[in-house]
Amino acid sequence: MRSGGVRVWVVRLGVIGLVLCAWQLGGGMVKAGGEVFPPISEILSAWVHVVQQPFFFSDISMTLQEITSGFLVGSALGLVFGTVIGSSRVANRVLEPMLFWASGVPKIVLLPILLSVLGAGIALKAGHASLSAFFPVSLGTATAIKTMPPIYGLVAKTSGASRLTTFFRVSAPAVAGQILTALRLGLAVAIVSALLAETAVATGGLGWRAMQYYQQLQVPEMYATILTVFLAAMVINVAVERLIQVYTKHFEESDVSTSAN
Amino acid sequence: MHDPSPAERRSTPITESTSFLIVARVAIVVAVAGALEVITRLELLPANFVARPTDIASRIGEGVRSGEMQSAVGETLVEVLAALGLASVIGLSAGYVLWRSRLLSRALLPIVNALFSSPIVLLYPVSLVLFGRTQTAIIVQATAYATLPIVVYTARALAEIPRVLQKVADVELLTSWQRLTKVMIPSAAPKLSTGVRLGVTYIMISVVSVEFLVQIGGLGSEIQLSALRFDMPGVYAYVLAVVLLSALLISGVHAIERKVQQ
Repeated sequence: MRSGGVRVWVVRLGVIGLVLCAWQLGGGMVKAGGEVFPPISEILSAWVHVVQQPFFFSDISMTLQEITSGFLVGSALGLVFGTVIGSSRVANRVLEPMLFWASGVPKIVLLPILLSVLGAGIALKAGHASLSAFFPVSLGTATAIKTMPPIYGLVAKTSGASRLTTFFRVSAPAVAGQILTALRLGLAVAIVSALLAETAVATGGLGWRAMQYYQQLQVPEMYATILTVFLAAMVINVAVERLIQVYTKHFEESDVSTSAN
Repeated sequence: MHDPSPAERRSTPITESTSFLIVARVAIVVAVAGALEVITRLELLPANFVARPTDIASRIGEGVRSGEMQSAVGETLVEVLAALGLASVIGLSAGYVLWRSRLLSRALLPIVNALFSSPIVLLYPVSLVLFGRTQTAIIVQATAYATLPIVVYTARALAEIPRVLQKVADVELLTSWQRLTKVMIPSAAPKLSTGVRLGVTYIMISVVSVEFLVQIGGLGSEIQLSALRFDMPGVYAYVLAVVLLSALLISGVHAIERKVQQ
């Protein structure tokens, strides 16, 4: 098992190393390649330059504000709407497919409409992010509630549990894992949406900054900024996924120990 | 064929029937459109936020008569189908390779998963620099974005094929091609089609977003141009076209999935 784990890491690091070497050599050797794919060493030194800029942390702060507020609003609305359509068979059969079709529409096309309502500030990007987060959260919540085994509710009712007790001690824990997964997906799309909206209409933020570097032909700085975004997005997604795993495992273990007692 | 008795017919609620669902959905759309028509005529919402449904319908008619609508839909559809074709071939092949090699799967799937949730669409300037402001740049960008979910779901789908089916294929001495077409694909079809459907969604997002941002052509570009001309009925008309195209493509994937499973 241990040697298997080592082999996995060797292959993983080997593939990453191969890609980075090819990039480093390709960017360095070919002039046109260097303009499009500057060597990794240039990107890393550009990254050091980028983080020392006075506007770097204000860009991060603006992007984080947009993502956080957009995600909170979108997921709150998604949870409510998803609960409504998941709880009613008729509403589910009528509305869920329509919601699914609407979820496939790129929300960026609604930017002109949002612009006329919310203006060109942080609210625009937050609104765009909340619109994007709403759909996966509502669809995931609806699915979680719809697929909860009805026997849970029946057992709670038979045991004399009140509605509130049934909700907090039975229904919510039963659907929490799936809803947390839907929230994780909502967060991922909120991140992409906020950054994409910044590339279209903004005066700050990491997405806007990357486009500014691109337009000024500062390609290594553009990559350095995008690299910062990628790493931050990966860290956030992995952290949230681990939290979900810990929660789900804790819930299963407490479930087992409760039934054992 | 057994004719249901009146008691049996009564026991199936009308809300379960397909015609009820269609009528209910059409009723919702008509009700929303009607409410918007009244709200906009009474000027309860500003005209630069919500366009009148009758103006939107008239704008769609104009677009169809002039050929602009068909041209924009055609351009977007070509890009989407080309990206879907490429992403499916690359994604299904790569997913199959990862499934065949447990070592590669354990080593590389977490990286693919991490890239899956990263904002790859932000790399569109790189595509523009490599391929110019052309449809090729849009297709390449969309292919890169959509390949990832197809790889992930293909590897998962193949890994979840019940061992008993594979043993039956061994016992029946099926050839590799028979094993693939009669056992693996039908068994893995639901999850494979989830990956392809997700790929279609990502392709639509990528294609229309880049068209919108860079105005190369297609539905995204028409939406941006309508917005710049303050033509709100035009914005909504082309947004509706995007919704319909998206629904059509996802329905198409559903239909192929049902056919494969038969």
